[in-house]
Amino acid sequence: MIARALSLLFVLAVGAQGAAQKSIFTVKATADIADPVFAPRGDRIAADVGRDRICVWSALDGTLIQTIELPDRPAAKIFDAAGDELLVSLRNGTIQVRAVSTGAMVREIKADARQRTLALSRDGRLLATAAQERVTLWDSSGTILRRFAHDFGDVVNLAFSPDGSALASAGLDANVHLWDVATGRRKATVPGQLLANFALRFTADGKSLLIGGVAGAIEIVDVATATIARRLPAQKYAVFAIDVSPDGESIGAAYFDIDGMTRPAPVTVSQLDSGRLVRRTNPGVPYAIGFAPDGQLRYALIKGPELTVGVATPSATRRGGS
Amino acid sequence: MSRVPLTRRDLLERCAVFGALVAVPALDIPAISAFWEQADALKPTPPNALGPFYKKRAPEARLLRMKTDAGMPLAVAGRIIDTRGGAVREATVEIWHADHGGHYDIAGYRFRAKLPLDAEARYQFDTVMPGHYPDRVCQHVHYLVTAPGHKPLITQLYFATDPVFEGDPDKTFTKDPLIQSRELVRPVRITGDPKEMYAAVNFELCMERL
Repeated sequence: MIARALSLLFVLAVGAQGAAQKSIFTVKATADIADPVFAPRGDRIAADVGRDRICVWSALDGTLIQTIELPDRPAAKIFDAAGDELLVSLRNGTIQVRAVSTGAMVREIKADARQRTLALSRDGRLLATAAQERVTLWDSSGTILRRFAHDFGDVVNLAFSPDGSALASAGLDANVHLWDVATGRRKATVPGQLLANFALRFTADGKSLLIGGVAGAIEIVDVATATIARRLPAQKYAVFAIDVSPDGESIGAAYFDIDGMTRPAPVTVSQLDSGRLVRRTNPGVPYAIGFAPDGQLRYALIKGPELTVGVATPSATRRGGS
Repeated sequence: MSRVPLTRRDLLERCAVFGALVAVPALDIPAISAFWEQADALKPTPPNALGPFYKKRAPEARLLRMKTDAGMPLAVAGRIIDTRGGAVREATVEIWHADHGGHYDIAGYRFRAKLPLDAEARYQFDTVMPGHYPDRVCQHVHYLVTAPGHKPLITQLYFATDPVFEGDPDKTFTKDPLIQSRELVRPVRITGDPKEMYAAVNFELCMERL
């Protein structure tokens, strides 16, 4: 995800700085790797390899699961909830749904412009995409249901609530909006946001929305009232990704350095209820994070044709709570 | 009676209705009208990336530079017009840029401002030449210009004196992959008295009507 964010944020990718101290595997591809994304369960990771190819690996041991050849360069991609399908937005405006097990095309959706941001509802019935400031909501057959828009600038992240009734959108116009999927109406705009947010993540119960961005603090939004319920201590970095552990108790976050987005930046784990920082590690330049089924937060680093996956939360550390 | 001025399209179409234009029996009035308007139109300022560091609620200010600020003093002036050359007096112009060291002020509003416009939609501000920073090749100032009835204009101002251009921005402006239009790289005039030299730039912004 960070590669996409970085391209939106006008960065020339130069790869990770330094080696991961707690890497669990490194894979080497046949071409440069970009834009890694974890599956929602954290057990798979996909990344662009060269111009027109995506590889999917096990995020647990680095086993190559599939190589997917594409007719055009990918602009964005996400897994479905189970990690069985990969949705790939191509630069020519089409969105392809590919089966991870075979690489075969499941279906294709034609959009009118390159969609740089994607989100899929948990049940897979709704797809949200964004091209510049415009958000489009689709059903699974590729029919357009709704269109939303930010004031200006790119929409950089989208997230469905767990029940699919609400869509959150974050844009470079420094707004985070909550949309009613059924009516297409904007339910609320998260107050107090002055700077852009890049990370959006609903909690499993859908009651809270976690947001983070240039301001450096993760804020916990009460969805019912659209107010900031709590704010975790800010780091001296911008938040670009947030994930919640499978047990719902921990928040993982990845950051970038505001003064140089390809400089090393931390990955953190905090307790959701207290906000206490449990773990902070500096692996290099994290490009993606995801909690794995074992509750460990994994991060991805890239350097040329190499993808390294590391662990930010050794089990012993979490058990000890230090 | 309406005081709204007629456009060329209005004029042509009304003349056609009243039979004033009858010289060419097969006259395609809409096509001629469109051609005339196109020929008459100014080119909108090319858009450029908004970037991640826009901050809402910048204070209205014209003087952004403090005496203690490092960096070459910079005076930028220009006008906000539409594609017909008319002043867009109701425009809101926000600018932001990095300091001399290449750092954006995230906590506050240094080198961020909403610019006041005069009756002719002219603006000006005094600041320092922005610094380079690791992820961007060139010095730049961000602009966000909004106005009712116009497409928001998001763009950036670049400087022909930027060392990156090696004195020849016509050939080298693509060294920054984000610069897709040469016209965003503006000439810089070094002026002032020897004790207080400053860089002066003119940057007129042309908005598209919705």
